[in-house]
Amino acid sequence: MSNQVSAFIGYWKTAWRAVVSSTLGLGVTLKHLFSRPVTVEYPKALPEVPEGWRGWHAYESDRCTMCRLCEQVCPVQCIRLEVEGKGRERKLVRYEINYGLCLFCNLCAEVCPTACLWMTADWDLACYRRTDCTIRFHETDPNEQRQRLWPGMKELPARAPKKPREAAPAEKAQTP
Amino acid sequence: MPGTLTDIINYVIQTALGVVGLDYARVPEMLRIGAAMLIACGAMLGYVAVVALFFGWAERRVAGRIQARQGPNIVGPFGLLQLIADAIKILVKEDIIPQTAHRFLFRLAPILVFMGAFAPFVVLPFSETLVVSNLSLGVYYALSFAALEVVGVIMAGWASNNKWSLYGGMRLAAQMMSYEIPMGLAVLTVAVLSGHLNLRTIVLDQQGYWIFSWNVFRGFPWAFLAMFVFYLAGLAGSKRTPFDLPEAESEIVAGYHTEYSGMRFVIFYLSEYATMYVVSALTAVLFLGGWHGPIPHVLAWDGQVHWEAGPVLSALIGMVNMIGKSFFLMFVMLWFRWTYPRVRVDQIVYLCMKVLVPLGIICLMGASAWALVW
Repeated sequence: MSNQVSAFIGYWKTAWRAVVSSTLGLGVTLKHLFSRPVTVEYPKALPEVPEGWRGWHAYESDRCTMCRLCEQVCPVQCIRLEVEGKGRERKLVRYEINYGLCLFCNLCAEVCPTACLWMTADWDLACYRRTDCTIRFHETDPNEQRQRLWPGMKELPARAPKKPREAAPAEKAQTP
Repeated sequence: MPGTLTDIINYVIQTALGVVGLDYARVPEMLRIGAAMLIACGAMLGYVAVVALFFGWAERRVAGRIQARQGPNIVGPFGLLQLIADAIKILVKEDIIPQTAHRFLFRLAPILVFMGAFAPFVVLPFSETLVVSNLSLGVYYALSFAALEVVGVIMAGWASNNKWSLYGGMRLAAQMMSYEIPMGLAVLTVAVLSGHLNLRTIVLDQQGYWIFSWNVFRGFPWAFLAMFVFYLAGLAGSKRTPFDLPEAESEIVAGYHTEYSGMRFVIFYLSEYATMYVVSALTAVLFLGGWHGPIPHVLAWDGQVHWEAGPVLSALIGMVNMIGKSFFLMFVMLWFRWTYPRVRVDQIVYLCMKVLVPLGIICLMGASAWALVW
């Protein structure tokens, strides 16, 4: 008899728990219904990338000493450098990075002694043809090339400031 | 004042013919009734299509927002034209009938399902005057046509010659048949409380003191409980989540409409939304005061609420109230869908046999006692 009574009480307890938990669940979804969607509508709005994002390279040919360290350290050999002349008369003929191969590992930027090569927060690297993956840094501004690949593309948010790598720790020391 | 939508259409035709110079009385009666019925049913069909398209959009939109996404928002304002794009896409799709399917039954099944879903629209009152047919057994009519849907779904499952389809059809048949019991009990509760089976009279009965004369509050607590019984049973009957076992993707692909494509698939889809609307509208009519608004149009000083708007205005207000309530209840269905996970087969049986049926019987007995006392 007491078994039946406890079963009866258990039935109502289960029913009550079901009602309460269902209502709570509805409340959760209702809250989300009126919250802002997290979707970033890409072509209209550009996503914000986190700090330290390793995107497209930036290259400053004026400061480059043509030491080829970046070319040698690259694990996938995606950087191609061609130099003419010797000694002080050296001249850069070609500086290419093939983004079809690039790992975005940042090793090239780390070994660069003059910090003329660094990685920006520029994330939009898609292109239509495989040949377009190779960016010729000696020829044109990479941003111009990007405009050529994506006509009508909106301007990207401000690129990473052009500053030598050594400057970063010094600035950090100043801020606090 | 004309009685039903059919009368209104008759009146309009009569006036139009009068303008042209024809005597409406000389048109044979069968032709007159037939024309009025055809026009009324055509209007209802258009309404069903619009509702289904709108909720096809709303479903995706609500789903998106609940999951912190956007939902369709590119085509047209708020993505509203997305549904038209989808309709065009589906219309031009290839219609495939499997080689081993029973061709005749395969083609017949979606028509039967849609008939079952569409027929109850005939008795749904949108306002005091806007009823296609003022049947005295309106509730029975509406509930009995659910059986046609069961037949259609079993037919679809069997004719597809596909295991998943057959399983889906059988699951749905078992589910709909068993859930018609609590649904009927909930309807009986209202029938006992108001003493009518005519949907229009049931709504007319709920006129009076604001929301407190609606059946939910008038028959408190029995009708209040019966409303949940009816709504949940209707949810199961219209195979919506969390009771969408007949279409459980993870188990049986798409259930009874696995083999359907193109236009025939759309008919299944349309009938699902039509059933949802019927359940919502019936809940609104039986329990939530039908076309009566929560705020009375005119409140006289004797405490009684009087509808003193003209026939056209009151019909419009009634329509807005009725459609608003139905749409809200349909929105709750969408909300349920994106809140609850699918239940198991044994849980479906448990809910029906051990929760809803006893609750329905208690409601019926309580309402009968109230009817005896008062």
